[in-house]
Amino acid sequence: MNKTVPPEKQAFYQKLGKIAGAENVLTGAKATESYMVDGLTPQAVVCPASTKQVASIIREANESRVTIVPWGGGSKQPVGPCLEAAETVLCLKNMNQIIELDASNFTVQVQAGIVNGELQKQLAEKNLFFPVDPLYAERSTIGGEIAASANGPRRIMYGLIRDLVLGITAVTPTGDITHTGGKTMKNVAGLDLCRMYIGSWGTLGVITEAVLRLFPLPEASTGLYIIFPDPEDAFRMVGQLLNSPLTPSAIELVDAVAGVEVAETIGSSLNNSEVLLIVNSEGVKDDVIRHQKEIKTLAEANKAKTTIILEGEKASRAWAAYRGIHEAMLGASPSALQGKASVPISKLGDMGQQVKQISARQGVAIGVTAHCGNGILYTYLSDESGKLVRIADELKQAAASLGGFFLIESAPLSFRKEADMLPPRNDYQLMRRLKTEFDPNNILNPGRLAGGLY
Amino acid sequence: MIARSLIKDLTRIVGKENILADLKDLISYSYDATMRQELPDVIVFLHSTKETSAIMKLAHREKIPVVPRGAGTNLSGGTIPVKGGIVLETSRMNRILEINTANRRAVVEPGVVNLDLQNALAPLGYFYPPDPASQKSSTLGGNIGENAGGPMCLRYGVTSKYVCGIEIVLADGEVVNVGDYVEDFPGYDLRGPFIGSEGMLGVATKLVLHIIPKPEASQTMLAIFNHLEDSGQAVSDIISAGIIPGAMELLDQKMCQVIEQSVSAGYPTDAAGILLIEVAGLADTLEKQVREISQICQKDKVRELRIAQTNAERDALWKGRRGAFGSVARICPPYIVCDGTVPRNKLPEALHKVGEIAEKNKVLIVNVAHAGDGNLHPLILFDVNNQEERKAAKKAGQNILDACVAMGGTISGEHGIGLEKIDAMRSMFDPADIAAMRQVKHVFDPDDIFNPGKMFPPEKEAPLPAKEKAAQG
Amino acid sequence: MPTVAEELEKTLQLCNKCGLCLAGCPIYKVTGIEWTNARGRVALLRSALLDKRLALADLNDPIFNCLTCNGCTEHCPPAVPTGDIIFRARQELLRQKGGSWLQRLLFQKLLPNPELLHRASRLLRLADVTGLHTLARKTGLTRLAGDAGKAEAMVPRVPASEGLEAIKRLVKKIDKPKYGVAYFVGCYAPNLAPERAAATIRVLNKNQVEVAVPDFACCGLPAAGYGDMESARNLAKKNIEMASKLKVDAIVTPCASCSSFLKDYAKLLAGDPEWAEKAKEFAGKGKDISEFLVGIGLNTEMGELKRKVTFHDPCHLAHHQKIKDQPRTILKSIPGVEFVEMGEADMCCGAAGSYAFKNYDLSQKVLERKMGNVAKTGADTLVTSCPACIMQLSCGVGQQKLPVSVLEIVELLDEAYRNAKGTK
Repeated sequence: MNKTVPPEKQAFYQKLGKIAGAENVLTGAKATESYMVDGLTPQAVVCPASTKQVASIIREANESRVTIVPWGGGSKQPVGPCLEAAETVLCLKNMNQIIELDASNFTVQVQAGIVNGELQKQLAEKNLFFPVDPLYAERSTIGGEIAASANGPRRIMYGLIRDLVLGITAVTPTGDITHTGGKTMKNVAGLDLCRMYIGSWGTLGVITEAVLRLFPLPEASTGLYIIFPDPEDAFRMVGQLLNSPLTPSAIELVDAVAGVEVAETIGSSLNNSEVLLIVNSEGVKDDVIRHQKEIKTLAEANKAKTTIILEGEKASRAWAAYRGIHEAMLGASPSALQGKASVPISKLGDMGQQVKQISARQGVAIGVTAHCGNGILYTYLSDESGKLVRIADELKQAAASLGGFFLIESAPLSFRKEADMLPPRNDYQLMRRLKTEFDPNNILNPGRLAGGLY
Repeated sequence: MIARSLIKDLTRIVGKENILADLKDLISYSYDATMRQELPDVIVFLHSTKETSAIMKLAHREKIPVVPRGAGTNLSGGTIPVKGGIVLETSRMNRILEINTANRRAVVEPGVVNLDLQNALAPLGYFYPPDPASQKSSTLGGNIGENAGGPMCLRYGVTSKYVCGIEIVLADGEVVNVGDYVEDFPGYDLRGPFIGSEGMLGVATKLVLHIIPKPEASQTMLAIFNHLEDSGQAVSDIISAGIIPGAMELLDQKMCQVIEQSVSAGYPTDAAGILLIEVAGLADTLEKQVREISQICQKDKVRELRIAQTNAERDALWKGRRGAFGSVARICPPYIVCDGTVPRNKLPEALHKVGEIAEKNKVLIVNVAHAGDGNLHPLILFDVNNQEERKAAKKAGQNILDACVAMGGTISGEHGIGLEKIDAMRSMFDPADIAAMRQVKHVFDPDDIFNPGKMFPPEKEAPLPAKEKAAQG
Repeated sequence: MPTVAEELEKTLQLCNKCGLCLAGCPIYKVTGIEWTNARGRVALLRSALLDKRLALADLNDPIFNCLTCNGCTEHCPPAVPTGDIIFRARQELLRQKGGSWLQRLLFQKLLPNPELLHRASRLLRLADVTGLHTLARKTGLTRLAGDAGKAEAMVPRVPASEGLEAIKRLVKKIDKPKYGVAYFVGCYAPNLAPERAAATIRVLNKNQVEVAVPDFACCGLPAAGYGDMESARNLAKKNIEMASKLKVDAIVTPCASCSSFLKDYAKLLAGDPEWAEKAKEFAGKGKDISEFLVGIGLNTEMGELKRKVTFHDPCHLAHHQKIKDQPRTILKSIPGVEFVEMGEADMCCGAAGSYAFKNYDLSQKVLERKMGNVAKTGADTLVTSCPACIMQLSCGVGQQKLPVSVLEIVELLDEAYRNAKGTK
């Protein structure tokens, strides 16, 4: 922890206080506690207040070859390949303001450190919202969500975060402030670096500001909680739903392993192979009523055992229980592993089936949730008998055989350090070149990126 | 000028029926829908990824410039081979390889014409939302090169939202697949910079596209206003009310007059501005939306509101809008089309500004706009034989783009930078911004093989960004 | 005398290169080559005539492999008249290069004289009947004639006929005629399909229309298409002169190319003060048969025909005359007929008169695309309204072995009327 720090780096840590103010720099024991990442303890944590300060810090870091870990809410820090080094944490929590809310243009410009939930509260006062709802919006920052390309169930109706961010201000690893995009819905001036930064996991630049596309708060909303004894029926219904002009705001599935609490909340239970399909609808009142009716009809036509229609407070509680699954499953055990399978939409049912078979074969319970309209399936498991690697391999094979891939997102540190986390692709070389071009000294989040690039 | 031996080598790769090099061929590929012309050295028709890779290896070895081309309908000079070289023609690489509605995917070769894909999807009840006005001629590969928009993008989004994966042949012949057939692929989203890169980063040889079910119903209406500002206000108010129409197009009086001369769309020729509005969605709610829009238009002093009762009426209304640019050409073939975009709530102000600029520069400007997106298309007319008028038109164009940027907008909403807007780049971007773009270009194409001379202002004119200053001293 | 460059300058400058014409060009769709679409041809002509970068003589293919179908102009908002531009360019090229003996024979001797033309067709029939024709094909002699040699295989066997005289003998007085027309028989029917001419007269009679068959000569389109405007004008004058002696409501023909060109006589002779007025009057009388029948109110006393029918729009009907609805109205009014619209119905079949004789491969590629569209309809009957199209489509159907009959619209109508007699 307290290894000897080379002199040029010492100089850097001393400059931090001058740039951001001494009260915004943490060193020593305090830093260790909350900002440890991948088993590494940072030397310092700095919380700047402006893009200019961020630029100065990074410029200095680049010159002194000090590695930087950008930090929002820290929710995705234990995800993906392990960092190689983490000398300074650059935390954006002090940059948490709304810069400009242009309500009639349906855009808001924010500092990257604003927490998603906090932003939504302020937007709600103007009857607006930002429809990106990853499963920990209560603590993730907008900047973090952009960097991690975080999406939630609303993706099926509103699109992905990459299509909801109109402009970004980012500081490059060499300390230059770059602006890309703007306030308009359409913008093709120059190369689209906005979408380059989105999902770059803090390795190409530090996002300090963003312009987001907003929507009016829905007039009405509802959630249908549908239990199917046979998952095949559930997926058939999903196929029919997707092939219709209906536009649900969520199509989520959860199995009996992961769905215990949700089922309880709606006054039901899930046996063995039963699955719970949750379909939400929000928007204009008449549209929501039509969705309710038709989704219920579809459910009954596909042999649903129970269809519970919820609104208001009851719906919020059930939905909160569903959203809580992620943290609950990961928090249940230190050897918990969470992976994401992405397969063609029509093959999601098959993937679910394969997961069950692998679980049975290996004798390890695997919890499943899915974004049914996007072909995304999350697996949650924990095992202390050394089967994790084998199970992960089988899951990878299953997804590949269906034309998709499986990647491990959260896992015990030892696992992440050794396992081959990511699927094969032929554009990793190009990604490496991009990283080297922007970050020749490899100071931003070294090691974080795909395929063990850096 | 390229060596004859190179043409021989190219012929060996693609066969002589796929090589064109006579003067008449070169002239045919020297232009696009703008006014400049520059001759290439040879035209090569692509048929496969393998061939394309072999061609690029050759071009890379000899450092010959390469310009990918679809139908050459772009409006910014994107396919003009300013440094000569090889034009890579994709019009023969035009198969639809797969349509899978259950996966919401279509896999196509780059030369497929946008409308041909729409026509293949329509019987299945699906569509591909980006619908540029050029769609019956422009190719999907070309659409990706420019990140094409279109009227439907107001509700559904632009090309960048609907491209899942791209197979790209890079400058040195390497073949990479960016993005994926499935979602949430790991690593950098290289699709992002590639879409809208105007043929400067590589050539796409296969596209995986996202397709969606058609809306259940749509209603088209024409709102006629006595004052242009009122129509702009109506646009703003409709969207503020939370309605997202499928499309909302604005045309001013002169534009309507010009259109009616060429195409009988039934547009009034005595109204300051008209709005062509289409709402789409579930049938039941459409009625309500139409009523709401009527109320808003009434509030904004609409003179008349016509609602299309039949498909034929709807088609006629759209025929006028889609023939707008060409109709202008009938009365005045040379014109500059601006593509400046402003935040939607600045639309009335922007229209007013355009009028002022027209007066100041003494030019005639007719307006059409994707009003819902704030994407203006002022068409500046001039006599091609009159130097003064030409200069004034160019000046007016610059003024308009500057005004858009000043209002928080952009110099290009959908047509791209190409040649036409290189000068305007500096009014919108800092040196550091452009330097970052150059870095991305450098990653994909360090030798500047692909479509050189486009998009970026000449390097020596821009002051250096911090990192280079630091490296120097 | 203005030069061809001065004549065409304004028209050529109408093109703003938007590229929408690409959507309507069959040759571009099968080649993908820019100078095979209207934008490219216009750009090259501009380069040659206005910018002087090329010689017109360098542009033989761009000028001659255009179908002149006018499919491009349909999509062109400034309505650049590419077909007309191409005709003018051909005229200029012909002037520069001089024509061939065959051209002179055909356009100056045969086409103006239906009797002579008929006799020439008897020679062809002789070759057919004696087997000489088949021999020429089998020994590959025809291949020596290049594209013309390949294309001649499409020309049907020459039937026995007695030319225009025989058709005149079919004319008869009818009870209570409501209209009187001159039937413009054209070059094809009297020599290669006399029964079709007979069907035309019967159909007109059935609609209370009295028919006269004057000694009209060729309409002149083949000569114009070749670039021989002088011969075209001479033919026009001959026909106008012939018509001036008649008192008829209309000059009707079932051949779309003829009706289109007859209507163009006004434009053709606009610059000739002696003929301009007469040409205008003549052109005003010219009518396509579907146009005429629907215009006077079609007699719907027909018998049933159990057919699944689709319609191919001849370019000269759909693009040049903008007649699309009337043939469909007629077809849909025949009891028993199931009408199905084919994709790209108004896209050229590749016949374009004698196009195949000079551009066989391109013609075949365009035909292939058309056949694909026909096959997709599942129709058993393909109807059109132009003898060149009939020839081309019949050839295509035969090549693809499609179970489809190819008929002129008058033939189908004739069948329907004849069935009515039977059911009475």
